Amino acid sequence: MAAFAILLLLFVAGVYVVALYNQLVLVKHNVAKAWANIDVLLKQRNDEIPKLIEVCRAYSAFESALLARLAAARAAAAAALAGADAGEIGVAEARLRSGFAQVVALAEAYPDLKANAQFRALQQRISGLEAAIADRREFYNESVRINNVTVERFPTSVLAGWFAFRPAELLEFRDV
Amino acid sequence: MSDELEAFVVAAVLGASGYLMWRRNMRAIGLMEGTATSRVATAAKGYVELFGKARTAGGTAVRDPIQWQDCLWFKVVTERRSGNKWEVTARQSSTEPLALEDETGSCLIVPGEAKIDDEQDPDVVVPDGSSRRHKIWRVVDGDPLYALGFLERRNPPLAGPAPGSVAADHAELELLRVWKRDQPQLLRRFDTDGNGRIDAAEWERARRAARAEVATDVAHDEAQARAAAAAAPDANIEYRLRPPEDDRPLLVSSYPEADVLRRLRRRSWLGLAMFVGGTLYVLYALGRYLA
Repeated sequence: MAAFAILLLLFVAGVYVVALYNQLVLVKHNVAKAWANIDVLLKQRNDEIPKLIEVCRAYSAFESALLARLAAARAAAAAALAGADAGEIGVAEARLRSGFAQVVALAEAYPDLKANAQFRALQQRISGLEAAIADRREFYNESVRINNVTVERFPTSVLAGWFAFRPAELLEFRDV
Repeated sequence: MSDELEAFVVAAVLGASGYLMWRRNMRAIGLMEGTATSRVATAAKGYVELFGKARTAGGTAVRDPIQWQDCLWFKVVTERRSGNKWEVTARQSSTEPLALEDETGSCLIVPGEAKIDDEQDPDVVVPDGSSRRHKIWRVVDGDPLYALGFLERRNPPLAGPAPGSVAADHAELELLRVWKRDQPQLLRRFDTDGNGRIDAAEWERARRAARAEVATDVAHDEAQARAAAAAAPDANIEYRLRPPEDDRPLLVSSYPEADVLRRLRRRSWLGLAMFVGGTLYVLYALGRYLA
């Protein structure tokens, strides 16, 4: 009878371990899915920035240094995105957002540019994408938090160590 | 059946149902804890967790049949006392869809597809004489609503086959078959040279006419379907939460997530206890029998 009880206990423990492992897989995939959702928006936004720069360049008086900085920030953001490093993306994104905000603010001083239909459409499109990115970033960070808590909490932390489940990095747009 | 055999069967059933209960609840807990909360309008389509307020989907008003209180959804379980136990004699619940609304949008929930407040105690128990009672669960307008399920965008259903599709070809052939059954009419329509038979060129014209007729019918049916969808009381609700096609659950509760989790954990432990107890007894009885 004692042997049966031990076997039963082992069976229950086995089922529990499988459930814990599946939980680690679930949260890892949820982070990947949340990242894919934000990645596609960042790419779309990065594709719109050069069009905005071209429209602004048509106005010769528009500050070219500012446009150059925006183009450089866009290139850095695209490179960071290709590297899929949340820390680097966060820094590059902060610069790109700041550059975009400066261009929009400066455009106020150019009534012709401000009235340009293409500029207005691009500004709206980029602002819309930024809002969607902000929302998806919040969701991504929540998925990361869940993943990290699961990976670090006992007893899943033991399994996470054995099977190399790692904490993910939060996506924070910050200046350095 | 001897007492021992009866106890053996009861223990086996208890163990098996306990195992299923334990696994099912553990799975639901894992999904709830592992899924971040989305907002309706910005959620990636797929299996999502949502939290908002219960709102009417715009359909007919719902009232529970016992206390006649306005609500968005109800479930009533009627029980009759039988000795020391209460036996369920009737169950009824509303089928009118309701909506989950957050700051970004609304999604439709169809009660028949979702188990609403499945793990919760009733909101009220109404005595009906000394030997009957009604347990009532209700979701009212403005209640917090938690949901875990498959979110999709709602589209008016297409009423017919797309032009050029295999289904459209099939419909065209079927129409030609119908026309061929009425030869005098077929000749009147397509025998333009009057030689009493349909030659290749005339047959091609008949095929084109059949294709056009199918396309017209499809367009008409689609227009009707779209008009019906636009006129539906829930037409302004852009999203719908449905059960996923795999075995993941569609959970809906008018209680906060923490309450639902607590209840699921309790049921999970109960299932485990039933499984362990039942299995131990089965093993014990088998051991005695074999000895």
